[in-house]
Amino acid sequence: MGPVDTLWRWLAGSRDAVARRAEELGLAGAARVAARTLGEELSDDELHDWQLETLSAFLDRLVHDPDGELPTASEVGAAETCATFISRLPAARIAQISHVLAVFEAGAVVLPGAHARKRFTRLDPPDQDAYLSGWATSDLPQRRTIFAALKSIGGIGYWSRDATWAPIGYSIEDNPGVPDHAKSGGSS
Amino acid sequence: MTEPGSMTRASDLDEVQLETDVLVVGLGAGGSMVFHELARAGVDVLACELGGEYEPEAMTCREDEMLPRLFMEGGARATRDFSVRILQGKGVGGSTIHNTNLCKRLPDEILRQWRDEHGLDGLTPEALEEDFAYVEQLMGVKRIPDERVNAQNAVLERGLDALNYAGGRMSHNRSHTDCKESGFCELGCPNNGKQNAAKVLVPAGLEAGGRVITGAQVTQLKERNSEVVGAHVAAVDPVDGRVQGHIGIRCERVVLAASATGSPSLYKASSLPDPNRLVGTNLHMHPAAVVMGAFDRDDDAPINGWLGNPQSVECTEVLEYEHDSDKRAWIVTGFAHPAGASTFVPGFGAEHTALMKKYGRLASLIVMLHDHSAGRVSPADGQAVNIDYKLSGEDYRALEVGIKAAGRLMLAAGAREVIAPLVQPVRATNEAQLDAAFTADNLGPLDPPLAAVHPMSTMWMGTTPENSVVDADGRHHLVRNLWVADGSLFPTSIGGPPQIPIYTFGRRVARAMLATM
Repeated sequence: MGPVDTLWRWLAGSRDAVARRAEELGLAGAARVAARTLGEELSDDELHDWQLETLSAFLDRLVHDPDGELPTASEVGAAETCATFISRLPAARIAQISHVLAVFEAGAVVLPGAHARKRFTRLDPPDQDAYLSGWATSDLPQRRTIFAALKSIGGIGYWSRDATWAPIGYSIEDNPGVPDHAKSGGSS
Repeated sequence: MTEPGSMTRASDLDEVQLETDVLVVGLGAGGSMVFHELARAGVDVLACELGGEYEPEAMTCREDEMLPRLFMEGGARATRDFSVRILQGKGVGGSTIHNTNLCKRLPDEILRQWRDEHGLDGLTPEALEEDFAYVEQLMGVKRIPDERVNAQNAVLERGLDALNYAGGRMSHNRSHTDCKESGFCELGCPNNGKQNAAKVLVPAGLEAGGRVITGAQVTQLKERNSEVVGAHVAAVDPVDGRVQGHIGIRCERVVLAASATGSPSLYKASSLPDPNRLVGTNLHMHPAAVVMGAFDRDDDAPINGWLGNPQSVECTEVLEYEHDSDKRAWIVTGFAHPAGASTFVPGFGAEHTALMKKYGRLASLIVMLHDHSAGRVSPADGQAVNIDYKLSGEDYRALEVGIKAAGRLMLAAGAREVIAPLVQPVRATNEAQLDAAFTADNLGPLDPPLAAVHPMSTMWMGTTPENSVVDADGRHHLVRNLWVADGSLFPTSIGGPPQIPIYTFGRRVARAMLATM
């Protein structure tokens, strides 16, 4: 059993051990372990394609309209908008988001839960939802933090797209207080 | 290199050495007031602002574009444990570019505490009257009229009336000519409607001969024999902070006005004297929770909270300033455009999406805590800062009181359902459910998610170096010719909007400095 397996098995152990180890590792340390687990490259200054795939899959579960009135995150290019937004952030925040995505993608492989033991992007949608629920409602603050960070970034990527506004009744174009210069162009 | 009355980008000044009498670090409310007062008094004053200058035409009203421009760390700044998101402004005007223009003086009880418990004997309402009046006249403060109260604030007014709760209409510093009630205060006004630091103070200071450098991050203050003598400045991209060059500044005096996180971080990064280890401690921030109400019955009028003036009304029913009170919540309407709102709408997937589709039917209230918890700030890489802050048990109890009051206001105003974004979201249709859902025991880190926009108190006023960092005039106790003029000055949380107090103390600092020149 290699060191990575040992670490992840230990992490999947008792709650106290998980919390303590998470505290010791920190997000950056956990992200490096995660990337090694996945066999993927990890950078502090950019997102790799596999991380954009994670983000895209997360977004497709974050906003899901059974009535079909809202476009999917993939349809509006929400992940690409997120990537552009992230690229404008200070270096430390880009690194943080890179680490968050790595831990989130790898967690599905190793952490206990009702989902199948595959990386997040390989799970079926119902298993992805179960996995997301585990992060959103976890009694470990670190996991809730990661969910909240992804939700915040994802919200910018999705809800800043014009195509998402009509179904929620929002509009810049129809806002009488907005001057013409802010109504021209924009993200569609 | 920089002429009187000029605003220059730091990236155009690489490897330049500048001289000035007074260096002002940061052009938020406090720094802009100091800049204004000193320039108009004929002082050679140079201000460095790490953000950019944004004309109204640059305000695009788009969250993904304006957050990186107007907010520190793109709006992603948070405490180290991520339990509180901290939104602080950058740019010429600082947080006054994105604030919602609420204007209030310091409460008399807060001033009494500062006099009695911090030795600041001169800070009486009478002594501050002339400065408050000057600021209010200069910044155009006026009561928000009936016709500028939007549907969301009308909800709060209905709730106040129905419950006979204390509170009422507030004052603001918008121009009733230029403000078109776009609802985009928080992303920068596209109509130049705010009578803020960028519109009122900085141009007048430039006209009087002051100089401004933008995209200029002061990274170190230089000190010799316990006296500031200059600063090192990094020319940075105003959006992402990438370093583009370096500038040296020689000066006689420095005013730190980089906010209650930026000022102590710069001080500590400069290794300036701090024998009592006070700088950066005592951090208060008014952490706030959101409570939503659904007005989604067929005969309910839409709320559309993004239209009109975001905040016009306050509830002070559960806002007391006595130390042992558990009523320490200031309640105003909360508001965000879709991306920002989505972070507070609970859950994900179909449940979250269903609520977002009710966006136009959701009213929201912010429960902002007059906090007793004290955190600390320390420097980190680039423009980041380390912020450590944990809410105490008594503050969670006060938050519980505030959240329940906000829920009652919503129900009294006619909400069908009260929604609060706890880990297990609360959805209550009556007061009994509301009371059962919220106890101080079920509140904790990220439960509910909190945001703060008023960091303060980290270089506070007092009488001695053992009990404070600066004196009542904002002058540093230990380092000569160093002054502080931002929210760091306040010894305690103030329980309300800080812009008028910060402008006011900026004026006082400038006056005290002029008396030494």
